[in-house]
Amino acid sequence: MRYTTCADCDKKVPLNDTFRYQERDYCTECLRIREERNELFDRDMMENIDHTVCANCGADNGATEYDRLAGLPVCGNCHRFYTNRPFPTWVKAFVLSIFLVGAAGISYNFNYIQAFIEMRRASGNLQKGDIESAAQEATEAARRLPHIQSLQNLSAFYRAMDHLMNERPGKAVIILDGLVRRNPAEKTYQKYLLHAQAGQAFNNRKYANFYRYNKSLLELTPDDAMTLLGVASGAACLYAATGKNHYRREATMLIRKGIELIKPEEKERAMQYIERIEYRLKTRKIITQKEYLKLKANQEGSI
Amino acid sequence: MIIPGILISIATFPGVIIHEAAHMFFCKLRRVAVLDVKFFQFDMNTTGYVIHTDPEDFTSSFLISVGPFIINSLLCIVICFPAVLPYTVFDDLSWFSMFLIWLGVSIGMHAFPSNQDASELWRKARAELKNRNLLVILSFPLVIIIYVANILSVLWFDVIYGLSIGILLPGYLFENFL
Repeated sequence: MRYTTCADCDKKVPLNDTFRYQERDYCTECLRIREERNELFDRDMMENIDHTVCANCGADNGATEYDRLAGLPVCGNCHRFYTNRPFPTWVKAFVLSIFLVGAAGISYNFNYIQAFIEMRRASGNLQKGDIESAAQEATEAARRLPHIQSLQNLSAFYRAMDHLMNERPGKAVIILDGLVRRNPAEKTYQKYLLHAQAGQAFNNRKYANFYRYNKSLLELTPDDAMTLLGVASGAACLYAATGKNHYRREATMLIRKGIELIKPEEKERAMQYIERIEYRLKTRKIITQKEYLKLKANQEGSI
Repeated sequence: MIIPGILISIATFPGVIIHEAAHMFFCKLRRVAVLDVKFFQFDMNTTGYVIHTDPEDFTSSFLISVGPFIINSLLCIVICFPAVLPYTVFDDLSWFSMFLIWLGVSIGMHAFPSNQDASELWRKARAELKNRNLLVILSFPLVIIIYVANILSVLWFDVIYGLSIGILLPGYLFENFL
């Protein structure tokens, strides 16, 4: 520790307890007296710093000066403290709790995250044409979140599509009927219900119903070629069953209309459908698509 | 509507604490002495501060100044992400998710460094320009963004930023990419 002599009282005082004024050192008491007497004419005074005493903890280093930190002398311990200042315990606890809350958030919403991933996979599978896998993923997602009605609806819809695509229209009707009852404004469900009902009616040889369901479908999608051909198919079935010529004329007219509306991407499917309808009109035989393809294959084989 | 900054800081206090903790974290990481720190205080002008010595290199200056922007933004996204998904995708929002969104947005709101941090970074960047440090080139537009963001905070820009990265960004990603 360093000492200096006060220019007024002549006492030897620690350097840290003095100020430098007009090139002389003064203790705080004498400086205060001067201030009371208005004898401080120049405000240019500086607090003296003893670089042998730690500015933080006051540790005395004898005659040796400490290293400086931000211009002030600090001992080794204090230097280490400032350089590696610890976070207060409450801050550590606070930050830890933030991380724990974040982790809890992920855990709490994990079912949503998984359901989201499953629905994305279902959508991808649907785009690839793998409706069975899409239905499975959608069902799994719906199982995780039973309270989300939109997810339950989507899962049911995928399952219905799976049944429809795999020629199980009866099972599709059950699911789609429930969907339409719960969501009367949703046109997509109505449309596919009619598809399924038409398919079921055809399988059950209820051709009047088959025709009627296709006509109802046409009201929902009047400019769709495949729907028009569906009605033509129904009319052809009724012609095949009853022999009434007005059904034949209706079928022929609808085929002509349908051809005008065929989109390029559905051309092959539409032309195959038209072939079957024309076969039905020509022979008055009602056969399924599978049976028709088999017959055609046999005919081509025998040529 | 002008609401006193102290009230906003109290309502979003996690962001203030994380902001100062981010500054201090990078100080410790870069072995820069922290002379004083206040993680939160009830003061109209300054709700928190970190006083540190002058870093010896520009990278330390950059990280210490920009630290809150990195850490607060990241935490905001990570905390809000699982909470936003149920609402954005399934239209389902629980109380816990709302709490998470408040926490995340509070943290995100305090991502921007102060004007003081920005001016310090600008001063250091100018001095470092001759060394052709890549971070220096990044610093100049960043400082301008910080100044503009702090000016626009009277128009709730900090809230908009927190909401954007916490809610809008995840929502957009869920709808279009994920």
